[in-house]
Amino acid sequence: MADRGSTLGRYPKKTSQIAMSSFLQVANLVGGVLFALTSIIVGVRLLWLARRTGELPELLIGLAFAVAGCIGYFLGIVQVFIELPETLERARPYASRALIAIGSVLIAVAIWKLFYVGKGWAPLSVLTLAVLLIFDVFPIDLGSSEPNFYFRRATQVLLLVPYVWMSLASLRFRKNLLRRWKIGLGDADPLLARRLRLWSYGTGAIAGLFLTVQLVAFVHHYSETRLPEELFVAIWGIACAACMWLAFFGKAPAASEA
Amino acid sequence: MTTSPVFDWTGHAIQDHTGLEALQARGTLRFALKEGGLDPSSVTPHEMSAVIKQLLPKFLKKSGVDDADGVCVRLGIALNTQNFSQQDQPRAAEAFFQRALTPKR
Repeated sequence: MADRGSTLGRYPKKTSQIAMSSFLQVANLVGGVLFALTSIIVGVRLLWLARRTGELPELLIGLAFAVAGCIGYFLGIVQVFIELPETLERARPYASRALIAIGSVLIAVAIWKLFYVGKGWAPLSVLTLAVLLIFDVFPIDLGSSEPNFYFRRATQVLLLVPYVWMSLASLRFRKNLLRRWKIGLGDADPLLARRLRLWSYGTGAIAGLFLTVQLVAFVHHYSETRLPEELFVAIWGIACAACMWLAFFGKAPAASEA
Repeated sequence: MTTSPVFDWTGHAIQDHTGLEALQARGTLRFALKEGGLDPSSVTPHEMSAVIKQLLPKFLKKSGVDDADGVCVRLGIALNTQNFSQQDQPRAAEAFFQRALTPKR
């Protein structure tokens, strides 16, 4: 056990701290790169599909993944790895927040167009979200640190709403699809059923990533405890990348699996 | 909540064939549609026909309707004679996920 008062006791602690810090940086890098890479691959694939079909949902979701998942997310973590010039560093958080907010709004529009066409409340919800997210990109200064903290957390939580919504709506849609197939409406497609579930988990993991960042911020705000945020973010990033990869490129299951 | 013409027609037809109250008839139909993964606001004649054949008898029996199977056969025949403007169209979500997740199949 380390003795805080002795020199001998301090060296192992410092070494373990350095080792932990390096581990967290590597985890952050691996999770971040996998997440950004998957986002750009899925985004480009959907944009390519949109170019061919001319349909809106693939365009919206493709843009959301390419813009927010890849560029926005990368801009959000790039300062950990690279020291940017001061001017760029000042603009970086705004650009990252703007792209991530745009991604959330695009996902919300896609949800409306996919699942709630003709429902009056859906475009209203999307519009409200878009207006509120302006305050995430350009936060208002509420005077003291406490209200500012809560305001930032509230606007950041809004970012995850479309991803939770997409995840739940897709799961519900999958459940209904299985029920329709059961009574002979449409051809049962086990691959589609499996990939839809992975898609739901993948979008849920994005929401999990956003939520974890906010929960860690709360813990850090109210206690001295330092949580390994980079590790949590990396785990969510890897989970999302794995689900999305399998959803778009996974092997076909046996016919009985769905 | 807006319901599709085929839902409204079937609700009335259940009332006529079974003597159930309007609310009970529509409620029973809603349960059957839910089990079939369908929405009363967008259900099409083809989908309703499948629900009437395969799911509605069970729910009518639960509502205390005698000869639920016979009622459903008559409902199915009557439904086929109707001319609804609503056509079967692929759902936006289903079409998208098929294009995006299972291309070239």
